[in-house]
Amino acid sequence: MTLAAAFPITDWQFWAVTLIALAAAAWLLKGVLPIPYLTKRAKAKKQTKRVSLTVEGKSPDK
Amino acid sequence: MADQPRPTLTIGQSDKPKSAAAPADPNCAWCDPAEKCAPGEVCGTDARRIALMGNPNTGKTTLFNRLSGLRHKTSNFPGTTLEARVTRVKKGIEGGRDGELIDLPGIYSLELDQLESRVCREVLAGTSAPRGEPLGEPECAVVVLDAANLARNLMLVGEVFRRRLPTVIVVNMIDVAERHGVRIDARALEAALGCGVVLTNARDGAGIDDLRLAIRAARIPTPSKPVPPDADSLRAWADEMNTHGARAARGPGTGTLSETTSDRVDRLLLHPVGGAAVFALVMAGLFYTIFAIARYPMDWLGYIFDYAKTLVHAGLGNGALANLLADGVVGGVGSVLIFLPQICLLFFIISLLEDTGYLARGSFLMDRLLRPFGLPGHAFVPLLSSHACALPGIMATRAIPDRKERLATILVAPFMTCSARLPVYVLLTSLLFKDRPLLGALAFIGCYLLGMCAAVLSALIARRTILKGKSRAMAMELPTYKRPALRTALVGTIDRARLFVMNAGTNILVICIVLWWLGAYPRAEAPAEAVSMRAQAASVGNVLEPLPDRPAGSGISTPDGPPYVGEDALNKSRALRAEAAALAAQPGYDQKRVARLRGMADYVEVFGMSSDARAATLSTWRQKAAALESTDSAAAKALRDDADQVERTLADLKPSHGPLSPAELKHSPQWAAAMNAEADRLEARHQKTHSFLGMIGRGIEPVFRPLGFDWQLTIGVLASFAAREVFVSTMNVVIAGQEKADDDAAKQHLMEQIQTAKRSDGVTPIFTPAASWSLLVFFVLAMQCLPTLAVTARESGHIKWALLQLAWMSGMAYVAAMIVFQVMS
Repeated sequence: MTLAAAFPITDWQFWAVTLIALAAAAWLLKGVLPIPYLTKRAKAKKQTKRVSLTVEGKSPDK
Repeated sequence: MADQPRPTLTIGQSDKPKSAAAPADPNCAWCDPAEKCAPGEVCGTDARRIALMGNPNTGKTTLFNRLSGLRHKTSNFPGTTLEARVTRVKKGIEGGRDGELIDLPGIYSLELDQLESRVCREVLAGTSAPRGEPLGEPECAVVVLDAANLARNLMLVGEVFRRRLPTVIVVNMIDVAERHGVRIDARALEAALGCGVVLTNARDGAGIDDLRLAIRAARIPTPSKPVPPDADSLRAWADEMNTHGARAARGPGTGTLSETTSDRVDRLLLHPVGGAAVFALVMAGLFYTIFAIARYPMDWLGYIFDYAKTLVHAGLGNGALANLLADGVVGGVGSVLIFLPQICLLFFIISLLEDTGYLARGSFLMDRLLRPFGLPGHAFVPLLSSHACALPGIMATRAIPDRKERLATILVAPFMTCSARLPVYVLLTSLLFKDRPLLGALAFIGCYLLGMCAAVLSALIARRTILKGKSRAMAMELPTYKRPALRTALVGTIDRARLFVMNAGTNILVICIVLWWLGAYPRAEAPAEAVSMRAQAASVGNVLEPLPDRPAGSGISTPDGPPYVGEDALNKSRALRAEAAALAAQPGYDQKRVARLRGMADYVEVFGMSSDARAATLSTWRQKAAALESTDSAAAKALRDDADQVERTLADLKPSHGPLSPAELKHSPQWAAAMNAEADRLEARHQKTHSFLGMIGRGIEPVFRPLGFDWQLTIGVLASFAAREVFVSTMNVVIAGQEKADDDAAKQHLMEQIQTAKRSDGVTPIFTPAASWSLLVFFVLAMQCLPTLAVTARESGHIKWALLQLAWMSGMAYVAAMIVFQVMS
């Protein structure tokens, strides 16, 4: 069997399902493999939270 | 002291001083008529954030549900697995800004070195909030007390008073207290505590409207006696407050709680033998109920998912995308969601048991069993939590003060049967005990017991070897028995079901997609045997019966009318066409004879067609006849007569047609359908075997062969190392191709598809009894959850404990499953 028959590269649906499967695999592996975009950046973005410090309802600088 | 100005360090948006206590509006029981809120929303309060807290088992969550209905969200506190329920509060303190009511974990004291207490402390200080909620100090603390245990509950009140927040005291479960002969005087208690006191019975909604008004009028408490700073004095303060508030209200001759119905019932339910027997009966009844009732909604769900697959194929055809959606997504996710009714029912009954107070008795009984195995009493709560999910169970071990005891608990917590194992248990016990729900329930309980036994034995080994040390005694409160609140159980069930679907569903979805792709590529050529079967099936007609000579007078009359239908008719047709072609090749051929031969070939061929093709051909003839009517009425009549004659001939044959002989059966439509179905199965099996998935499964199969797993089961086991619940969906994806070509089987629901699946030899079922038992034991004992390993590494402080957990549990599972399979086979 030829490679083209094994992987129907002329069929757009093949590419669609392959892309979907790749995205799913990346989502699965994000917790296992060090994929920076999926883990560290996203995590750091979530953890960063700016809050204002107040004493008696007023900023301590004033 | 109570009136001293309170210096506050606030992080967040609390940039305005506290508002003065707003007067209660007697005309507004709920909200302004002009601004009706949606049912279940808390409105009409002047607080932007309300913290609902109290001792465990005070009806706090029931009260929250009563206030919020189903309009709430569940969220963890950041960095913890402690859950909080949050509901929106309309008409916030600053006019129009929404606030929220937060249901905090039940605690006995704010000052304990426990995660729950720390979270409550931080929420009151404004430095913590449920995920997704802004940080900020609560404008009102609602402390819920158990009316029957007022003195002990008031200690927490004293600790909350120290925070100097506007506070409302809710004395809940007044019906239970009244049954005990205790009546609470809200006014006397209010005067003693110096803040609003409301009597409620959250289960029937009594006092809820008063509570809303009291929240609106919440003020910083000014108790008649200042709250002392130390714990011992606080106990005395609580006793005094209790006396002040309740003394005048107690009826003569009542007020003793020493001999209650709860106490009498506990004599039986906590008895070492009788209690254990009742506990076993309750658990057996619980699972029998689940098996017996849940099968109906499971059937409905199965049909729904089958219909969804049909819709996908109807809308998108049979391309790769449609197959991914139908078989990978709908089939895979559906194979797990089909178990949702059982999981919901389990959660619902557990919630009811918890609400009655019986679950605490069960915990107490189990605690007696844990002690000899070196586990601390504190370990019971994490282990109990692990029955839902090992992650919160392991997180809950933070409450265990001794490091070695905590490590031992962490190591064995995943042995407890978590909800992710339930679909696998249900699948395997259903396969083993089809139509025998009682035996299925017993096997189910056996799985739970096996997990517990493995846990305590593992703990014993650990505590005798690598984690030597003494266990500490455990003290726990047994709540009074009460009628369960259906509303609370329902809300809790919906919460848990939603979490199961969201957490498990996401993992399952992506794993199913990946597995589908691995099973679909590279595409394999159809095996020669399947091609041959299809060719044979294509040549079969509907009946095999000698036909009478065709009567003269029809459109194309011939003395050589079709003697047979089916393959013989086709052969005759081919011969007539060949004769016509040979004549036409001769110079000066007889055109009328050639046309006649071709007409006969058309006529005879119809008897060799399948019923669908014949119907289509006859329809074409009649259309052609209608078109010829105006130009050649004779030809039109001949065509119509031919069509009618074919139908009459076949109709005349039917009544005399008895059962088919073996020779006839070989050429029947049923035979053709079976040949096509078998060809489909061969092709699907060939495809799976030669796909990436098959290559992986066959490569690792030798490792699991001693356990009775074939390559398909091996794939399921490997996939479930990411998450156990994936096993069911994996099996569906892996074997779906074998069933989907069978029209009858395609109508069966998903569990039946898995049940009838065959191994590569096409004969042996994948799930033989020995293999099913082996698999069941493997799933009870194996460490198959990557998130749990990650949490173990984090909580224990070193990855070596996670690796030890993986090696110990998986090794034990492998050996035990191998023994089971070898013995049974």
